[in-house]
Amino acid sequence: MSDPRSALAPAVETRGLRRTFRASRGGAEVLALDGVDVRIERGEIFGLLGPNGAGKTTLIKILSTLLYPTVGSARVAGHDVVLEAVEVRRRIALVSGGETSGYGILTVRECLWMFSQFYGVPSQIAWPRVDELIRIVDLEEQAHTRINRLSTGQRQRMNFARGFVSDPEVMFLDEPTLGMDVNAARSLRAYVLHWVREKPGRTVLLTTHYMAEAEELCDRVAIIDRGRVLACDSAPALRRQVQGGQHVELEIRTPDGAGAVLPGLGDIPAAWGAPHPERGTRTLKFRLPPDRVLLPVLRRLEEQGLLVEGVSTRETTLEDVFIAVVGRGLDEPEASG
Amino acid sequence: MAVTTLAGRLRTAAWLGWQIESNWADPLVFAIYSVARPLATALILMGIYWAVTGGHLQRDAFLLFYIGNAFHEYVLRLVVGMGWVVVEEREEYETLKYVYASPIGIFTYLWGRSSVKFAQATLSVVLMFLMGWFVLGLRWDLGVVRWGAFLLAFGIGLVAVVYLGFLVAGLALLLPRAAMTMNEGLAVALYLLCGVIYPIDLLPRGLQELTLLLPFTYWYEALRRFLIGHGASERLSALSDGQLLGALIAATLVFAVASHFGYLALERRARKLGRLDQTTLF
Ligand SMILES: Nc1ncnc2c1ncn2[C@@H]1O[C@H](COP(=O)(O)OP(=O)(O)O)[C@@H](O)[C@H]1O
Ligand SMILES: [Mg+2]
Repeated sequence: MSDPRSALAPAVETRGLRRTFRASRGGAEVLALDGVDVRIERGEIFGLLGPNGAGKTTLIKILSTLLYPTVGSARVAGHDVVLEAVEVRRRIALVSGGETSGYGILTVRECLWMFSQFYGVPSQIAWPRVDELIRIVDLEEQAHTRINRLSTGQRQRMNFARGFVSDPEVMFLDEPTLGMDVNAARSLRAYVLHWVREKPGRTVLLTTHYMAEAEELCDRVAIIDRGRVLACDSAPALRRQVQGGQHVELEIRTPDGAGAVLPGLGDIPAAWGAPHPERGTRTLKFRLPPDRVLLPVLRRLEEQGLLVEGVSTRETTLEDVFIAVVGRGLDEPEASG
Repeated sequence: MAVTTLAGRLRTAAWLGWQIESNWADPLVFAIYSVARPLATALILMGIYWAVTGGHLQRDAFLLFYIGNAFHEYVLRLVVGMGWVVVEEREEYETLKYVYASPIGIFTYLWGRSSVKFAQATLSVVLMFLMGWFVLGLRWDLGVVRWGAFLLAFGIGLVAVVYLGFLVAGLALLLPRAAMTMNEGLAVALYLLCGVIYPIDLLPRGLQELTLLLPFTYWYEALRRFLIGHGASERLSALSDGQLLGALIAATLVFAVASHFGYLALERRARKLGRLDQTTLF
């Protein structure tokens, strides 16, 4: 089982990975991945940060042997995902968040045990592990409840636990905390961190569109948009890339409270933040380069009929990096055309 | 190690199959379904047979097709069942991708999952035989049964049935909607082609040659021959017992290899198109 070639190889390595999907009803062909090269070392928590439709799930599906790349190749734990799928499957596990899959008639405990058996985990190891995971995802009271009686959140937590029953070498977590309540998400993140540090060589590839999750968990983060990795480094190093200048947040009174149209700030990329409907305002975020001053920007906004009610500056976050690299905010739809 | 792992995986998949099946099947409904459906088919066929032969129901000819009809339960249950596993796991439970991404192997998984179907079919067959014997008076001298040859032929034929199931599972990966009707269609086609309810001698010449390539044709013939002493087809009666078994084995081997690679080709296509985790029906 312990194959030296595999143990030495990086956890994930992709070369020029490209994936297109056939157009649905005459539309243009979708380019989900556009030449992705990533290398993930053993022991890392690697984050893939990108908006909806960036290609995160597509990459995870290819790496977990569910989908073929159109062009390019990928290796997981030293094995080719197309040619050596069986070897890859022995070493990986997959959790898709925001999904409520499961055999409704099984209990939580039965389902977790069953998957451990698919991986050939000996019973004397499997049972204690199943019970420990049930405790970790806080489903002790539901351990003997049928899955079809669980709430959506409980099913998601069970699905998360399922991923860990086989103690994989490489764990793929596709938006694992999507839609979870804050406490559950926090405790699952803590577990991921604990799991990776507990035993050397365990690796996690996590996709997310939550900045905080990437920031908190990941040793390295790749920013992905429209199928391309635009930046890849540790969070501090990424932040350094955009340092210099000031991060400015303006609170702007928007006439109809919506403010859907991004005001033009010349060559400075900006993004909308959260709206404050109770105050009828919305936050506008941008980075002011070191050689520029704020006043002309404010004037420009005034010319566009926007009233600036508050100004604040703050430290660089991954979101600033994202805006700098991608040219728009993470939760913003792409401008059409 | 490898063998115990494989056994464990098979057992687990089988256990899941039984859990799922026993969930919806109330024992009474289950019993009615297991007996009533095959019996109703048999009775309808008896009616048709009666009409076709102008009321001269030959007990012997009827027995031949009664036996074929009984064993056809395996094709119905296993083949349709295996196609259904794929559709149900992907569309309803949304677990197919996790099964695929695990090392269990889809062949092991489907073998295991379909064991419950095997049990159901066996129950139907036993009940049909009891019904035939005690109610319809379909009796024969049990002294002519050659148990060894019968069990051998039975086992080999089942392998062919399961491989047909793999092929259908592969089609279900690609064409979930069509697969549902196609499954049943395939079972009906075999019903008509392979000498289940009438001897293959009645088929047009070209179709006869086609049917002689399929293991199922030899299977139904061998089961009859080893159970009641003779088969239904004149053409196949030219084969000695050894030749018949040999033809069954050879046809099964070819069919199994072809199905195996056929399935793999379909699966590759499904992975290319991203069908392993698509939910399209429900
Ligand atoms: N099976 C599919 N058929 C057609 N288009 C697809 C399919 N799967 C994904 N896509 C498209 O590929 C792009 C990337 O999707 P995805 O990988 O799911 O993004 P993410 O997970 O980052 O939200 C999207 O534009 C999506 O619509
Ligand atoms: Mg996704």
